[in-house]
Amino acid sequence: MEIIEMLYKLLPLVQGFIYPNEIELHWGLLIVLYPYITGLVAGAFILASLARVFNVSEVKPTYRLSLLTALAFLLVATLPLLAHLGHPERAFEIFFTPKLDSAMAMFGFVYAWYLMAVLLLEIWFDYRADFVMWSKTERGLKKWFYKILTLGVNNISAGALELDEKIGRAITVIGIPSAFLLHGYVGFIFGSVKANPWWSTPLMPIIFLMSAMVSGIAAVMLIYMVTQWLRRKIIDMKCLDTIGLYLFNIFVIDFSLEMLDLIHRIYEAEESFDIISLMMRSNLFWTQFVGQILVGTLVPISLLGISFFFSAKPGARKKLYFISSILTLLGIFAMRWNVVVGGQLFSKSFLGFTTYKLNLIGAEAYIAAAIAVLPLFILAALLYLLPPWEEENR
Amino acid sequence: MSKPISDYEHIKRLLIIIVMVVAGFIAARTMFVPKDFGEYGHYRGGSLEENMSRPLNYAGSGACADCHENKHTLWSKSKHKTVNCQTCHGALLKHTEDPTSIKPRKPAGRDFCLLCHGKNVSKPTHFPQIDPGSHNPDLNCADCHNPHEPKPPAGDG
Repeated sequence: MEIIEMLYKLLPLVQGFIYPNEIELHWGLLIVLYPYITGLVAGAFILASLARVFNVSEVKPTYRLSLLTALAFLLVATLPLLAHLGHPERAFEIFFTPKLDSAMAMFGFVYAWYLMAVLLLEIWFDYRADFVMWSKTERGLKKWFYKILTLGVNNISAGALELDEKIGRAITVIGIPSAFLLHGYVGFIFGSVKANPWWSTPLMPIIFLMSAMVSGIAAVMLIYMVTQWLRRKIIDMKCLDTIGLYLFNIFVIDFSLEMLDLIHRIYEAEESFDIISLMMRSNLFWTQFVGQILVGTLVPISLLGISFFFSAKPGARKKLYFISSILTLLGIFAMRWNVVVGGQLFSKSFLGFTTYKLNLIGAEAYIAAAIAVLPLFILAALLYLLPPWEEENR
Repeated sequence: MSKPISDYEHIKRLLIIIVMVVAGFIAARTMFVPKDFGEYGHYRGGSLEENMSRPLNYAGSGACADCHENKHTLWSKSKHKTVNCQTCHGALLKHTEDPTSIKPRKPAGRDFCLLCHGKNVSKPTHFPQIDPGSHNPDLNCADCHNPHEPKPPAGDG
Protein backbone atom coordinates (compact mmCIF):
# COMPACT_ATOMS: atom_id res chain seq x y z
CA MET A 1 0.00 0.00 0.00
CA GLU A 2 2.92 2.29 0.68
CA ILE A 3 3.88 1.62 -2.89
CA ILE A 4 0.52 2.85 -4.08
CA GLU A 5 0.81 5.96 -1.94
CA MET A 6 4.12 6.71 -3.65
CA LEU A 7 2.06 7.21 -6.77
CA TYR A 8 0.52 10.36 -5.28
CA LYS A 9 3.90 12.05 -5.54
CA LEU A 10 4.62 10.71 -9.00
CA LEU A 11 1.32 11.67 -10.54
CA PRO A 12 2.27 15.30 -11.16
CA LEU A 13 4.90 13.89 -13.56
CA VAL A 14 2.14 12.39 -15.65
CA GLN A 15 -0.04 14.04 -18.27
CA GLY A 16 -3.12 12.35 -19.62
CA PHE A 17 -3.66 8.62 -19.29
CA ILE A 18 -0.69 6.27 -19.03
CA TYR A 19 -0.15 2.75 -17.76
CA PRO A 20 1.35 2.36 -14.27
CA ASN A 21 4.59 0.79 -15.49
CA GLU A 22 5.24 3.77 -17.76
CA ILE A 23 5.33 6.42 -15.01
CA GLU A 24 8.99 5.85 -14.22
CA LEU A 25 11.22 6.16 -17.23
CA HIS A 26 13.69 3.28 -16.98
CA TRP A 27 16.24 3.92 -19.71
CA GLY A 28 17.75 7.21 -18.62
CA LEU A 29 20.91 9.19 -19.21
CA LEU A 30 23.20 6.14 -18.98
CA ILE A 31 21.37 4.41 -21.81
CA VAL A 32 21.60 7.64 -23.82
CA LEU A 33 25.33 7.59 -23.28
CA TYR A 34 25.75 3.98 -24.39
CA PRO A 35 24.82 4.36 -28.08
CA TYR A 36 26.62 7.70 -28.09
CA ILE A 37 29.92 6.18 -26.98
CA THR A 38 29.53 3.12 -29.21
CA GLY A 39 28.83 5.44 -32.12
CA LEU A 40 32.04 7.36 -31.50
CA VAL A 41 33.94 4.06 -31.62
CA ALA A 42 32.39 2.92 -34.88
CA GLY A 43 32.81 6.34 -36.49
CA ALA A 44 36.43 6.74 -35.45
CA PHE A 45 37.23 3.26 -36.76
CA ILE A 46 35.60 3.95 -40.10
CA LEU A 47 37.68 7.12 -40.44
CA ALA A 48 40.78 5.02 -39.76
CA SER A 49 39.74 2.53 -42.41
CA LEU A 50 39.49 5.35 -44.96
CA ALA A 51 43.24 5.70 -44.74
CA ARG A 52 44.01 2.01 -44.57
CA VAL A 53 41.57 0.31 -46.91
CA PHE A 54 40.32 3.06 -49.18
CA ASN A 55 43.74 4.64 -49.52
CA VAL A 56 42.60 8.16 -48.74
CA SER A 57 46.15 9.28 -48.10
CA GLU A 58 45.14 12.78 -46.92
CA VAL A 59 43.69 11.39 -43.68
CA LYS A 60 46.80 9.33 -42.94
CA PRO A 61 47.93 11.72 -40.13
CA THR A 62 44.82 10.78 -38.16
CA TYR A 63 44.94 7.04 -38.86
CA ARG A 64 46.52 5.97 -35.59
CA LEU A 65 44.78 8.71 -33.63
CA SER A 66 41.44 7.37 -34.89
CA LEU A 67 42.32 3.84 -33.83
CA LEU A 68 43.37 4.96 -30.35
CA THR A 69 40.24 7.13 -30.04
CA ALA A 70 38.12 4.13 -31.00
CA LEU A 71 39.92 1.99 -28.41
CA ALA A 72 39.62 4.59 -25.63
CA PHE A 73 35.88 4.87 -26.14
CA LEU A 74 35.37 1.16 -26.73
CA LEU A 75 36.96 0.34 -23.38
CA VAL A 76 34.25 2.32 -21.58
CA ALA A 77 31.37 1.46 -23.92
CA THR A 78 30.01 -1.22 -21.62
CA LEU A 79 30.25 0.87 -18.45
CA PRO A 80 26.96 2.74 -18.92
CA LEU A 81 25.18 -0.60 -19.30
CA LEU A 82 26.91 -2.11 -16.29
CA ALA A 83 26.14 0.98 -14.19
CA HIS A 84 22.54 1.02 -15.38
CA LEU A 85 21.90 -2.66 -14.67
CA GLY A 86 23.81 -2.83 -11.40
CA HIS A 87 25.41 -6.19 -10.56
CA PRO A 88 28.49 -5.80 -12.78
CA GLU A 89 29.69 -9.15 -11.39
CA ARG A 90 27.05 -10.83 -13.53
CA ALA A 91 28.40 -9.33 -16.74
CA PHE A 92 30.22 -12.50 -17.75
CA GLU A 93 27.07 -14.57 -17.66
CA ILE A 94 26.10 -13.36 -21.11
CA PHE A 95 29.30 -15.01 -22.34
CA PHE A 96 29.09 -18.16 -20.27
CA THR A 97 25.47 -18.95 -21.06
CA PRO A 98 24.92 -17.31 -24.44
CA LYS A 99 21.33 -16.89 -25.55
CA LEU A 100 21.64 -17.02 -29.29
CA ASP A 101 18.15 -15.79 -30.18
CA SER A 102 18.34 -12.60 -28.11
CA ALA A 103 19.89 -9.63 -29.87
CA MET A 104 20.50 -7.89 -26.56
CA ALA A 105 22.22 -10.92 -25.06
CA MET A 106 24.50 -11.31 -28.07
CA PHE A 107 25.94 -7.83 -27.52
CA GLY A 108 28.73 -9.28 -25.41
CA PHE A 109 29.99 -11.26 -28.37
CA VAL A 110 29.64 -8.38 -30.83
CA TYR A 111 31.60 -6.22 -28.39
CA ALA A 112 34.26 -8.83 -27.63
CA TRP A 113 34.74 -9.56 -31.32
CA TYR A 114 35.15 -5.93 -32.14
CA LEU A 115 37.49 -5.22 -29.24
CA MET A 116 39.69 -8.29 -29.40
CA ALA A 117 39.50 -9.61 -32.93
CA VAL A 118 39.50 -6.24 -34.66
CA LEU A 119 40.69 -3.22 -32.75
CA LEU A 120 43.38 -4.63 -30.48
CA LEU A 121 44.81 -6.80 -33.26
CA GLU A 122 44.85 -3.98 -35.77
CA ILE A 123 46.58 -1.67 -33.32
CA TRP A 124 49.04 -4.39 -32.40
CA PHE A 125 50.01 -5.14 -35.99
CA ASP A 126 50.27 -1.47 -36.81
CA TYR A 127 52.46 -0.65 -33.82
CA ARG A 128 54.55 -3.83 -33.70
CA ALA A 129 57.60 -2.33 -35.36
CA ASP A 130 57.37 0.63 -32.97
CA PHE A 131 57.07 -1.69 -29.97
CA VAL A 132 60.31 -3.35 -31.03
CA MET A 133 61.99 0.02 -31.49
CA TRP A 134 60.67 1.50 -28.23
CA SER A 135 61.60 -1.64 -26.29
CA LYS A 136 65.18 -0.83 -27.23
CA THR A 137 65.17 2.95 -26.77
CA GLU A 138 62.93 3.42 -23.70
CA ARG A 139 63.92 2.77 -20.11
CA GLY A 140 62.41 1.36 -16.94
CA LEU A 141 58.80 0.26 -16.78
CA LYS A 142 58.02 1.57 -20.24
CA LYS A 143 60.77 -0.60 -21.73
CA TRP A 144 59.20 -3.68 -20.14
CA PHE A 145 55.75 -2.64 -21.21
CA TYR A 146 56.88 -2.52 -24.85
CA LYS A 147 58.96 -5.66 -24.45
CA ILE A 148 55.91 -7.62 -23.33
CA LEU A 149 53.93 -6.21 -26.24
CA THR A 150 56.55 -7.43 -28.72
CA LEU A 151 55.92 -10.96 -27.41
CA GLY A 152 59.66 -11.36 -27.38
CA VAL A 153 60.02 -11.15 -31.15
CA ASN A 154 62.32 -8.41 -32.36
CA ASN A 155 62.10 -9.31 -36.01
CA ILE A 156 61.30 -6.22 -38.04
CA SER A 157 62.72 -7.47 -41.29
CA ALA A 158 61.07 -6.32 -44.49
CA GLY A 159 59.36 -9.70 -44.82
CA ALA A 160 57.90 -9.61 -41.30
CA LEU A 161 56.70 -6.02 -41.74
CA GLU A 162 55.14 -6.85 -45.06
CA LEU A 163 53.28 -9.67 -43.36
CA ASP A 164 52.11 -7.27 -40.60
CA GLU A 165 50.91 -4.86 -43.23
CA LYS A 166 48.97 -7.58 -45.07
CA ILE A 167 47.36 -8.98 -41.94
CA GLY A 168 46.61 -5.47 -40.62
CA ARG A 169 44.92 -4.65 -43.88
CA ALA A 170 42.88 -7.85 -43.79
CA ILE A 171 41.79 -7.07 -40.23
CA THR A 172 40.69 -3.58 -41.29
CA VAL A 173 38.68 -5.08 -44.13
CA ILE A 174 37.00 -7.41 -41.61
CA GLY A 175 36.78 -4.45 -39.24
CA ILE A 176 34.56 -2.34 -41.48
CA PRO A 177 31.61 -4.76 -41.47
CA SER A 178 32.37 -5.36 -37.78
CA ALA A 179 32.10 -1.63 -37.05
CA PHE A 180 28.87 -1.58 -39.04
CA LEU A 181 27.71 -4.59 -37.05
CA LEU A 182 28.62 -2.95 -33.72
CA HIS A 183 26.66 0.18 -34.34
CA GLY A 184 24.03 -1.18 -36.68
CA TYR A 185 23.38 -3.59 -33.85
CA VAL A 186 22.67 -0.75 -31.40
CA GLY A 187 20.15 0.71 -33.84
CA PHE A 188 18.75 -2.77 -34.40
CA ILE A 189 18.02 -3.11 -30.66
CA PHE A 190 15.87 0.02 -30.76
CA GLY A 191 14.48 -0.56 -34.24
CA SER A 192 13.26 -4.03 -33.32
CA VAL A 193 11.14 -2.97 -30.34
CA LYS A 194 7.96 -3.44 -32.32
CA ALA A 195 5.65 -2.23 -29.55
CA ASN A 196 7.25 1.20 -29.64
CA PRO A 197 6.33 3.23 -32.72
CA TRP A 198 9.02 5.86 -32.02
CA TRP A 199 11.72 3.19 -32.30
CA SER A 200 10.32 0.49 -34.49
CA THR A 201 11.58 1.24 -37.98
CA PRO A 202 13.96 -0.77 -40.15
CA LEU A 203 15.73 2.53 -40.91
CA MET A 204 16.93 2.68 -37.31
CA PRO A 205 20.14 0.62 -37.74
CA ILE A 206 21.09 2.66 -40.81
CA ILE A 207 20.36 5.99 -39.14
CA PHE A 208 22.36 4.91 -36.10
CA LEU A 209 25.22 3.85 -38.31
CA MET A 210 25.33 7.08 -40.29
CA SER A 211 25.08 9.20 -37.16
CA ALA A 212 27.80 7.05 -35.58
CA MET A 213 30.09 7.85 -38.50
CA VAL A 214 29.23 11.54 -38.21
CA SER A 215 29.95 11.68 -34.47
CA GLY A 216 33.12 9.57 -34.71
CA ILE A 217 34.57 11.65 -37.52
CA ALA A 218 33.69 14.87 -35.69
CA ALA A 219 35.29 13.53 -32.52
CA VAL A 220 38.56 12.59 -34.24
CA MET A 221 38.59 15.94 -36.04
CA LEU A 222 38.21 17.78 -32.75
CA ILE A 223 40.73 15.57 -30.94
CA TYR A 224 43.23 16.01 -33.79
CA MET A 225 42.90 19.79 -33.67
CA VAL A 226 43.12 19.95 -29.87
CA THR A 227 46.09 17.56 -29.62
CA GLN A 228 48.01 19.42 -32.35
CA TRP A 229 47.29 22.67 -30.56
CA LEU A 230 48.37 21.27 -27.18
CA ARG A 231 51.57 19.90 -28.73
CA ARG A 232 52.14 23.20 -30.55
CA LYS A 233 52.31 21.41 -33.90
CA ILE A 234 50.98 22.57 -37.22
CA ILE A 235 47.61 21.18 -38.25
CA ASP A 236 47.78 19.40 -41.60
CA MET A 237 45.13 21.41 -43.46
CA LYS A 238 44.87 18.91 -46.30
CA CYS A 239 44.02 16.23 -43.77
CA LEU A 240 41.58 18.46 -41.91
CA ASP A 241 39.86 19.57 -45.13
CA THR A 242 39.44 15.95 -46.22
CA ILE A 243 38.01 14.93 -42.86
CA GLY A 244 35.74 17.98 -43.01
CA LEU A 245 34.55 17.01 -46.46
CA TYR A 246 33.79 13.44 -45.37
CA LEU A 247 32.01 14.79 -42.30
CA PHE A 248 29.95 17.10 -44.49
CA ASN A 249 29.01 14.39 -46.99
CA ILE A 250 28.11 11.74 -44.44
CA PHE A 251 26.28 14.30 -42.32
CA VAL A 252 24.14 15.28 -45.32
CA ILE A 253 23.28 11.61 -45.95
CA ASP A 254 22.56 11.06 -42.25
CA PHE A 255 20.33 14.11 -42.03
CA SER A 256 18.50 13.17 -45.23
CA LEU A 257 17.78 9.71 -43.83
CA GLU A 258 16.51 11.14 -40.57
CA MET A 259 14.28 13.59 -42.38
CA LEU A 260 13.11 10.81 -44.71
CA ASP A 261 12.10 8.85 -41.63
CA LEU A 262 10.30 11.89 -40.21
CA ILE A 263 8.50 12.74 -43.45
CA HIS A 264 7.52 9.11 -43.81
CA ARG A 265 6.02 9.16 -40.33
CA ILE A 266 4.14 12.38 -41.05
CA TYR A 267 2.82 11.10 -44.38
CA GLU A 268 1.93 7.64 -43.13
CA ALA A 269 0.30 9.16 -40.00
CA GLU A 270 -0.26 5.84 -38.25
CA GLU A 271 -2.46 5.73 -35.17
CA SER A 272 0.57 6.54 -33.02
CA PHE A 273 1.33 9.69 -34.96
CA ASP A 274 -0.92 12.05 -33.00
CA ILE A 275 0.90 11.41 -29.76
CA ILE A 276 4.30 11.40 -31.49
CA SER A 277 3.72 14.72 -33.19
CA LEU A 278 2.43 16.17 -29.92
CA MET A 279 5.59 14.91 -28.24
CA MET A 280 7.83 16.44 -30.91
CA ARG A 281 6.09 19.77 -30.55
CA SER A 282 6.12 19.80 -26.74
CA ASN A 283 8.39 17.48 -24.73
CA LEU A 284 11.07 17.12 -27.40
CA PHE A 285 10.88 20.62 -28.87
CA TRP A 286 14.11 21.87 -27.33
CA THR A 287 16.13 18.70 -27.65
CA GLN A 288 14.95 17.70 -31.11
CA PHE A 289 14.06 20.76 -33.16
CA VAL A 290 16.47 23.13 -31.49
CA GLY A 291 19.23 20.83 -30.15
CA GLN A 292 19.37 18.07 -32.73
CA ILE A 293 18.08 19.53 -35.98
CA LEU A 294 18.92 23.25 -35.77
CA VAL A 295 22.00 23.68 -33.59
CA GLY A 296 23.32 20.13 -33.92
CA THR A 297 22.80 19.56 -37.65
CA LEU A 298 21.80 22.52 -39.81
CA VAL A 299 24.30 24.93 -38.25
CA PRO A 300 27.35 22.60 -38.50
CA ILE A 301 26.39 21.48 -42.01
CA SER A 302 26.07 25.13 -43.01
CA LEU A 303 29.37 26.05 -41.39
CA LEU A 304 31.13 23.20 -43.18
CA GLY A 305 29.39 24.20 -46.40
CA ILE A 306 30.47 27.82 -46.01
CA SER A 307 34.09 26.79 -45.51
CA PHE A 308 34.03 24.78 -48.77
CA PHE A 309 31.93 26.92 -51.04
CA PHE A 310 33.45 30.24 -50.08
CA SER A 311 37.01 28.84 -49.92
CA ALA A 312 37.62 30.33 -46.50
CA LYS A 313 41.20 31.03 -45.43
CA PRO A 314 42.95 28.28 -43.39
CA GLY A 315 42.62 30.19 -40.12
CA ALA A 316 38.91 30.72 -40.67
CA ARG A 317 38.44 27.12 -41.81
CA LYS A 318 40.04 25.83 -38.61
CA LYS A 319 37.61 27.90 -36.56
CA LEU A 320 34.67 26.70 -38.63
CA TYR A 321 35.77 23.05 -38.30
CA PHE A 322 36.32 23.48 -34.58
CA ILE A 323 32.88 24.95 -33.97
CA SER A 324 31.10 22.55 -36.29
CA SER A 325 32.73 19.46 -34.75
CA ILE A 326 31.63 20.53 -31.27
CA LEU A 327 28.10 21.30 -32.46
CA THR A 328 28.00 17.98 -34.32
CA LEU A 329 28.97 16.08 -31.19
CA LEU A 330 26.27 17.89 -29.23
CA GLY A 331 23.74 17.30 -32.01
CA ILE A 332 24.38 13.56 -32.15
CA PHE A 333 24.13 13.39 -28.36
CA ALA A 334 20.78 15.17 -28.62
CA MET A 335 19.75 12.62 -31.28
CA ARG A 336 20.56 9.71 -28.92
CA TRP A 337 18.65 11.49 -26.16
CA ASN A 338 15.61 12.03 -28.35
CA VAL A 339 15.57 8.40 -29.47
CA VAL A 340 16.13 6.82 -26.06
CA VAL A 341 14.18 9.19 -23.82
CA GLY A 342 11.58 10.17 -26.43
CA GLY A 343 10.62 6.54 -26.91
CA GLN A 344 9.62 6.28 -23.28
CA LEU A 345 7.90 9.63 -22.75
CA PHE A 346 4.63 8.73 -24.40
CA SER A 347 2.27 6.00 -23.23
CA LYS A 348 1.59 2.90 -25.30
CA SER A 349 -2.05 3.86 -24.77
CA PHE A 350 -1.18 6.84 -27.03
CA LEU A 351 -3.15 8.95 -24.56
CA GLY A 352 -0.59 10.41 -22.23
CA PHE A 353 2.98 11.31 -21.30
CA THR A 354 5.34 10.85 -18.44
CA THR A 355 8.27 13.13 -17.62
CA TYR A 356 11.97 12.36 -17.34
CA LYS A 357 13.43 14.37 -14.53
CA LEU A 358 17.18 13.95 -14.50
CA ASN A 359 18.30 14.48 -10.96
CA LEU A 360 21.40 16.57 -11.56
CA ILE A 361 22.84 15.81 -8.16
CA GLY A 362 21.75 12.17 -8.24
CA ALA A 363 23.97 9.15 -8.74
CA GLU A 364 22.91 8.69 -12.36
CA ALA A 365 24.20 12.10 -13.43
CA TYR A 366 27.50 11.68 -11.56
CA ILE A 367 28.10 8.23 -12.97
CA ALA A 368 27.19 9.35 -16.48
CA ALA A 369 29.51 12.36 -16.24
CA ALA A 370 32.35 10.15 -14.98
CA ILE A 371 31.82 7.65 -17.80
CA ALA A 372 31.68 10.43 -20.38
CA VAL A 373 35.00 11.90 -19.23
CA LEU A 374 36.83 8.62 -18.61
CA PRO A 375 37.63 7.89 -22.30
CA LEU A 376 39.52 11.19 -22.52
CA PHE A 377 41.82 10.10 -19.70
CA ILE A 378 42.24 6.67 -21.28
CA LEU A 379 43.01 8.36 -24.59
CA ALA A 380 45.59 10.58 -22.90
CA ALA A 381 47.27 7.48 -21.43
CA LEU A 382 47.17 5.72 -24.81
CA LEU A 383 48.65 8.76 -26.54
CA TYR A 384 51.43 8.75 -23.96
CA LEU A 385 52.17 5.04 -24.30
CA LEU A 386 51.51 4.66 -28.03
CA PRO A 387 52.33 8.04 -29.57
CA PRO A 388 50.55 8.13 -32.91
CA TRP A 389 52.29 11.22 -34.22
CA GLU A 390 53.66 10.87 -37.71
CA GLU A 391 56.55 13.31 -37.53
CA GLU A 392 58.13 11.53 -34.57
CA ASN A 393 57.69 7.97 -35.77
CA ARG A 394 58.31 7.89 -39.44
CA MET B 1 57.85 -15.62 -52.74
CA SER B 2 58.51 -17.88 -49.78
CA LYS B 3 59.34 -16.13 -46.51
CA PRO B 4 61.99 -17.20 -44.04
CA ILE B 5 60.27 -18.99 -41.18
CA SER B 6 61.32 -16.45 -38.57
CA ASP B 7 59.08 -13.82 -40.14
CA TYR B 8 56.12 -15.78 -38.83
CA GLU B 9 57.43 -16.10 -35.28
CA HIS B 10 55.36 -13.22 -33.82
CA ILE B 11 52.23 -14.52 -35.55
CA LYS B 12 52.84 -17.92 -33.99
CA ARG B 13 53.16 -16.40 -30.55
CA LEU B 14 50.07 -14.30 -31.09
CA LEU B 15 48.14 -17.41 -32.10
CA ILE B 16 49.32 -19.17 -28.95
CA ILE B 17 47.94 -16.26 -26.88
CA ILE B 18 44.63 -16.38 -28.77
CA VAL B 19 44.38 -20.14 -28.22
CA MET B 20 45.15 -19.59 -24.52
CA VAL B 21 42.42 -16.95 -24.23
CA VAL B 22 39.88 -19.21 -25.93
CA ALA B 23 40.94 -22.20 -23.81
CA GLY B 24 40.76 -20.04 -20.68
CA PHE B 25 37.26 -18.99 -21.64
CA ILE B 26 36.16 -22.59 -22.17
CA ALA B 27 37.71 -23.61 -18.86
CA ALA B 28 36.06 -20.70 -17.05
CA ARG B 29 32.79 -21.64 -18.65
CA THR B 30 32.87 -25.18 -17.30
CA MET B 31 33.69 -23.75 -13.88
CA PHE B 32 31.18 -20.94 -13.68
CA VAL B 33 28.10 -22.29 -15.43
CA PRO B 34 25.92 -23.77 -12.68
CA LYS B 35 25.26 -27.50 -12.98
CA ASP B 36 21.49 -27.04 -13.02
CA PHE B 37 21.58 -24.45 -15.79
CA GLY B 38 19.24 -25.37 -18.63
CA GLU B 39 17.39 -28.00 -16.58
CA TYR B 40 14.02 -26.48 -17.54
CA GLY B 41 14.97 -23.58 -19.78
CA HIS B 42 17.57 -20.86 -20.23
CA TYR B 43 18.03 -20.35 -16.49
CA ARG B 44 19.21 -22.14 -13.35
CA GLY B 45 16.81 -24.89 -12.31
CA GLY B 46 17.56 -24.11 -8.67
CA SER B 47 16.30 -20.55 -9.03
CA LEU B 48 12.74 -21.92 -9.06
CA GLU B 49 13.27 -23.38 -5.58
CA GLU B 50 14.86 -20.14 -4.41
CA ASN B 51 11.94 -18.08 -5.63
CA MET B 52 9.43 -20.48 -4.10
CA SER B 53 11.13 -20.19 -0.73
CA ARG B 54 10.89 -16.40 -0.66
CA PRO B 55 8.41 -15.03 1.88
CA LEU B 56 4.88 -14.49 0.60
CA ASN B 57 3.07 -11.20 1.12
CA TYR B 58 -0.26 -11.57 -0.62
CA ALA B 59 -3.06 -13.89 0.48
CA GLY B 60 -5.00 -15.90 -2.07
CA SER B 61 -7.92 -14.01 -3.55
CA GLY B 62 -10.49 -16.23 -1.82
CA ALA B 63 -8.96 -15.83 1.64
CA CYS B 64 -10.93 -12.69 2.54
CA ALA B 65 -14.30 -14.37 2.02
CA ASP B 66 -13.64 -16.84 4.86
CA CYS B 67 -14.18 -14.13 7.49
CA HIS B 68 -15.66 -11.14 5.66
CA GLU B 69 -18.50 -12.87 3.89
CA ASN B 70 -20.86 -9.87 3.83
CA LYS B 71 -18.34 -7.50 2.35
CA HIS B 72 -17.19 -10.13 -0.09
CA THR B 73 -20.71 -10.79 -1.35
CA LEU B 74 -21.41 -7.10 -1.71
CA TRP B 75 -18.11 -6.52 -3.54
CA SER B 76 -18.41 -9.54 -5.83
CA LYS B 77 -21.60 -8.16 -7.37
CA SER B 78 -20.43 -4.57 -7.56
CA LYS B 79 -18.68 -2.60 -10.26
CA HIS B 80 -15.49 -2.91 -8.22
CA LYS B 81 -15.44 -6.70 -8.54
CA THR B 82 -12.44 -6.48 -10.86
CA VAL B 83 -10.48 -4.57 -8.23
CA ASN B 84 -8.88 -7.09 -5.86
CA CYS B 85 -9.25 -6.62 -2.07
CA GLN B 86 -5.50 -6.22 -1.75
CA THR B 87 -5.36 -3.47 -4.36
CA CYS B 88 -6.89 -1.10 -1.83
CA HIS B 89 -6.13 -2.83 1.48
CA GLY B 90 -2.53 -3.80 0.76
CA ALA B 91 -0.84 -7.22 1.07
CA LEU B 92 -2.87 -9.27 3.54
CA LEU B 93 -1.20 -12.63 4.11
CA LYS B 94 0.06 -11.55 7.56
CA HIS B 95 -3.44 -10.35 8.44
CA THR B 96 -4.92 -13.78 7.62
CA GLU B 97 -2.35 -15.39 9.91
CA ASP B 98 -2.87 -12.95 12.79
CA PRO B 99 -6.17 -11.11 12.22
CA THR B 100 -6.33 -9.39 15.60
CA SER B 101 -3.01 -7.59 15.83
CA ILE B 102 -2.28 -7.00 12.13
CA LYS B 103 -4.97 -4.82 10.61
CA PRO B 104 -5.33 -4.04 6.93
CA ARG B 105 -5.10 -0.49 5.81
CA LYS B 106 -8.20 1.49 4.89
CA PRO B 107 -7.45 4.19 2.34
CA ALA B 108 -8.64 7.45 3.86
CA GLY B 109 -9.20 10.85 2.31
CA ARG B 110 -9.60 11.36 -1.42
CA ASP B 111 -6.17 10.85 -3.01
CA PHE B 112 -6.44 7.10 -3.29
CA CYS B 113 -9.81 7.09 -5.09
CA LEU B 114 -8.61 9.84 -7.40
CA LEU B 115 -5.85 7.62 -8.73
CA CYS B 116 -8.58 6.02 -10.85
CA HIS B 117 -11.49 8.41 -10.63
CA GLY B 118 -9.84 11.81 -11.01
CA LYS B 119 -11.08 13.60 -14.11
CA ASN B 120 -8.80 13.09 -17.09
CA VAL B 121 -9.76 13.88 -20.66
CA SER B 122 -7.70 10.93 -21.86
CA LYS B 123 -9.92 8.42 -20.04
CA PRO B 124 -12.91 6.83 -21.75
CA THR B 125 -15.98 9.03 -21.07
CA HIS B 126 -18.06 6.16 -19.68
CA PHE B 127 -15.54 5.65 -16.89
CA PRO B 128 -16.79 7.36 -13.69
CA GLN B 129 -14.56 10.33 -12.96
CA ILE B 130 -14.90 13.56 -10.99
CA ASP B 131 -13.22 16.92 -10.87
CA PRO B 132 -11.87 16.98 -7.29
CA GLY B 133 -11.98 20.77 -7.18
CA SER B 134 -15.71 21.04 -7.74
CA HIS B 135 -17.00 17.67 -6.51
CA ASN B 136 -17.64 18.16 -2.75
CA PRO B 137 -14.05 19.21 -2.06
CA ASP B 138 -14.55 19.13 1.74
CA LEU B 139 -15.88 15.60 1.99
CA ASN B 140 -14.17 12.25 1.93
CA CYS B 141 -15.28 9.87 -0.83
CA ALA B 142 -16.39 7.24 1.68
CA ASP B 143 -18.76 9.74 3.34
CA CYS B 144 -21.14 9.22 0.43
CA HIS B 145 -19.88 6.17 -1.52
CA ASN B 146 -19.41 2.63 -0.27
CA PRO B 147 -16.24 1.39 -1.95
CA HIS B 148 -17.48 -2.21 -1.69
CA GLU B 149 -20.58 -1.31 -3.62
CA PRO B 150 -19.80 1.87 -5.47
CA LYS B 151 -22.71 3.75 -6.99
CA PRO B 152 -23.95 7.32 -6.90
CA PRO B 153 -25.58 8.01 -3.51
CA ALA B 154 -29.38 7.94 -3.38
CA GLY B 155 -30.97 11.11 -4.76
CA ASP B 156 -27.90 11.92 -6.85
CA GLY B 157 -29.34 10.60 -10.06
